[in-house]
Amino acid sequence: MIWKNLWIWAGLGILSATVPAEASDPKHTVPDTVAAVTVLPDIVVSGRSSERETSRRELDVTEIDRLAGFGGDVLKSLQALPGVARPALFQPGAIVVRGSGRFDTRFLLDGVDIPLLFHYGGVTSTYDSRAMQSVDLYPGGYSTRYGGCVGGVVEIRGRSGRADAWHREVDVSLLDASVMFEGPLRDNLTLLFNARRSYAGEVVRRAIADNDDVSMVVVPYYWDVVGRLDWTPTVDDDVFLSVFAAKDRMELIFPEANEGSAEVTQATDAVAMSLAFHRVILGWDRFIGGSFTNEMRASLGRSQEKGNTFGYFRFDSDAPLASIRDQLTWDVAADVSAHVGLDMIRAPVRYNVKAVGWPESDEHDTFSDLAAYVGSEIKLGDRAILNPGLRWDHYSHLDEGRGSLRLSGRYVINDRHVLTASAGSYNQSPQPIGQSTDPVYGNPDLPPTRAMHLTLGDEFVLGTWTSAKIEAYYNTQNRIPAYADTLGVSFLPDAEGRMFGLELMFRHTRPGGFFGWISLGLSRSDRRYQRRPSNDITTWSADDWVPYQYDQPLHLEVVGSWPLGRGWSFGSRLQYVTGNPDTPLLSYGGGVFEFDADNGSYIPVSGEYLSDRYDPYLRLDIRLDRSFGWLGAAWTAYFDVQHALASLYNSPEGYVYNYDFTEREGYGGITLPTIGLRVSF
Amino acid sequence: MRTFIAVMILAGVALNGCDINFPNQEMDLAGSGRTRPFAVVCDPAEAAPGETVTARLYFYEPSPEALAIDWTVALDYDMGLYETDEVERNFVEPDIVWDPEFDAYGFGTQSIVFTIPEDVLLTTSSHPDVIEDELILTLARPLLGLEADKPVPRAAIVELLATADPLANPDIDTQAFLWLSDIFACRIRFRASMHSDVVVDVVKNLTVRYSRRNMSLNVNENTRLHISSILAIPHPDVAYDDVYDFLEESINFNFDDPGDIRIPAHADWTYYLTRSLGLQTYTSPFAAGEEGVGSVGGFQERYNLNWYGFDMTNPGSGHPLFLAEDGDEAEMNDLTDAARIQPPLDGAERTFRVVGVLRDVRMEWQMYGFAPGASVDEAVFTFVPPDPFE
Repeated sequence: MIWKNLWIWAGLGILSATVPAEASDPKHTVPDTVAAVTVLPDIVVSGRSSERETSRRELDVTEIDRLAGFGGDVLKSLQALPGVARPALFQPGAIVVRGSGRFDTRFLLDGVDIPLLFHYGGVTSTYDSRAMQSVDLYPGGYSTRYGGCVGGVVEIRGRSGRADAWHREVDVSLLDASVMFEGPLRDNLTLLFNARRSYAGEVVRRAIADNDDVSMVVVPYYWDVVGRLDWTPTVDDDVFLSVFAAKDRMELIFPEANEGSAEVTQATDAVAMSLAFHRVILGWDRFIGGSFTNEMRASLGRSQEKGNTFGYFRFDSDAPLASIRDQLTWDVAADVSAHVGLDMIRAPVRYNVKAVGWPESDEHDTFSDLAAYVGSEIKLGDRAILNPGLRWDHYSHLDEGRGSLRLSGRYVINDRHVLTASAGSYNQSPQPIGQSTDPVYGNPDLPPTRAMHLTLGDEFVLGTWTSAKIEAYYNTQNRIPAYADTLGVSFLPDAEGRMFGLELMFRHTRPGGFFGWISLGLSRSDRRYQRRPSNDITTWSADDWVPYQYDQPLHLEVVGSWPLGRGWSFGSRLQYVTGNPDTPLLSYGGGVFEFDADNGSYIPVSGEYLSDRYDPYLRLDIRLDRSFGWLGAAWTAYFDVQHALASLYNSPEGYVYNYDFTEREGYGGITLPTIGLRVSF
Repeated sequence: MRTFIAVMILAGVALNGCDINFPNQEMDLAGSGRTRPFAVVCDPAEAAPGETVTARLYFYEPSPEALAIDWTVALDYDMGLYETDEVERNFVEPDIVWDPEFDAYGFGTQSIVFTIPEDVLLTTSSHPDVIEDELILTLARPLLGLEADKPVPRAAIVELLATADPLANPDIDTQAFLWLSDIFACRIRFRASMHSDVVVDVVKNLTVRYSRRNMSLNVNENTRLHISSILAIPHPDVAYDDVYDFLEESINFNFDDPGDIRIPAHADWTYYLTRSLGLQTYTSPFAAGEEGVGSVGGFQERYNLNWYGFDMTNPGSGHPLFLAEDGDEAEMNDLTDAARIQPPLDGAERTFRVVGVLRDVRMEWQMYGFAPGASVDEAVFTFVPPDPFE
């Protein structure tokens, strides 16, 4: 069914309107990475609360910049961390955390949600890495500061402009170009500005200029802009105002095509997509006095999407939103602190969707999540600390609320080991949001999806520059919306999930020397459905657990960057991942066929659901950087090769079958070299 | 495939293996050496409860003596929006199953006869016992004399559609009655299980509703396909849109003419199959209740035209009879608008059979039980070495 996934595409804007904002670090600073890996976190009651999360992976922008395979894109490197699945070829931007669903992980910018992490689903991140301070991934077991999701949380922290002097930078690659400048406006006021636009679309248009099969009305492009003012009016106040906007746009005309129905759109020969959003964020962190601090984030924004896929499907959505979040922290005593927070978001969404052969859905609905949370941090002697918390999320569009109770703790075993553990309940609005609760294409009576996370880990130091963390987890989900086509509604909340695994990460960071990590994930992610998840499945039992489509029992990443001297550096990334589950076809070697006389084509006859797997995925990326001074400016040239081994081993991402599914050939990525140049002055 | 590549480039995706295709396979009926069904045509193309339908299966079978075919009818069939929760149940057998008939080349047909039960719309899962579909409710309540917000039993609609006569009863809103006849539909499914050295199940859906009995203008009829001729153009690689530029030079081998069709096989000529298509116009269910509904002419049926070839001189020769318009090896979807063929150039006479199957498509009716109508036509011709003295 063509529109099955298209709505998911269209739903991004709706998603943006419904996920709640979160508070972020009041000081928006990043701890010294070296210090973070050489010294075990102190047992302190005050300080940056995110550092006390028991499951947290932090990426430092400067470290990632020269790693291979990510194109200098910090957010792409998230997919090389423990607990994050390797994305499929056609969903390169998917962040699937610990076997949860594709839409179960929240993306936050300074505590405020953003709908889209990557341009065009994975080409490059929408928020330029150079405007980031850091990125945190919370794969599970996080505190009540974060809510409205049952998977993980990705939090980008924007950075302030540099206060020492004005800096300018131009970056040019085969894909896009960007400019950036930053510096002090006054002693206590800095500005950072970054803008980027792609031009790969113009190259493609030129490439297909002689192709009669397709023409471009709107050259595909993306752009994004980041502007940020930071003001420190007093020693007790930090204020910032940031603006972030991004847009993806394309329109292709296929002159020979006349697909779908004019009832959906007159553009039955076109595939079009426009997605734009912006966020204006005001942050104010204040030390009130005594033992109180307050952090506030207020945001206004809008997400707009419009497009069609021939005459099969059209969508048009407009989602303005406003959110405010305030967290008051009270250091009650030397060993106890408490905080209380309000987290409110309201999004009056208007959307119009129509799939061919089905009614139009034209909805004006206010999505909101009104959340409140309390938490505490209690020091127990010199070695232990506990973080209990309670959160309540009320989803007004569901007319239902859910509470979450969470507890995490850390225990210092000795000067090399810290034991961490957490247990908590979580919930989120049914996903895909908008689609699953739509009166025509979903079920408006769906309840929130619920989850439970359990983690147990050990953080340990192996040497001056080397640290490691091992963590086990067991998560469950229930009330997951699942398709229920023939029961009068299109979704029912009766699927379940269970995920468990063991994650290990060794990290080495030597100042001015080697930087890298080894990440190993051993995991299992299962689902149990009450109905067949696909109509071509011949064997099925509602009692059986089956693998989730992103179940990857083994995921190994070896990532590193070596300085070679004289401005040269070399980076590489080796990735080995178990092949994704696949459903075998009985037509392929089994001598069982089905011919659909209504369409004149064969139908795949599937065997046991996801009982087979693709061959393992193996990938090597390499990168060479050269930094040099010229014309009074600092230059960096780089050469990056992705899939360097593709000609030797083609990691299959899928199969193309012949007409009756008796023959097939695999397809996968190709070796992709890129070059780029950056100048700072 | 070129289009596919272009889209993938735009998506920032580079594929290893994006040029994978399997040309010439699907159209070659004898190529696989296995049972090859290619059509089921129901007559009539849709039926009302109580009507009798004949379903004819068309296929190619390399070993007719080894073939056994079992038929079943599922009186309850539904697929749903996301096509994940398919229903196929309430199985019965056809009233009559005729013996299959074969010609000397292995082309076979088998027909069944089945009378639609009068109560099929009362037992199908396509409609609940108390109607929830807003469009059906909008149309049915006034016709049944029910006030808004009153529940509408399925049985009341079935009784209305089966017994009411708008012509005899001027109180009935004829337009709404016909729309309700069209919309209150379900599908049943025929399944032919063909057993030889492999198992091939053939499925064909049939729309069941009262439109035929109540004489709606939206009744779907079978398509009409006529393979007219082979146009031989004495130039290489002529695009189909340009054939009119060469009509005076071209030779039209008309299948309606008496006698065998014998076509000179030139390596540097272009050959096209020409055909005429019979398709209907119709209106959309989602326009019901608006001004002008009930008038035919809103949409032209779309179609799906499949072509198959068979080398009667040397079955299974593997000769790629069909070409894409640009002269490349063809896949089935290259042939919808222009079916280009190429002769073997081995200097021998070669006789071919081509089969066309035309199906109609009314995408707007997917939610309301649409099943396509179809038609089959075939033609036989012989490529002969060109006369050197011509």
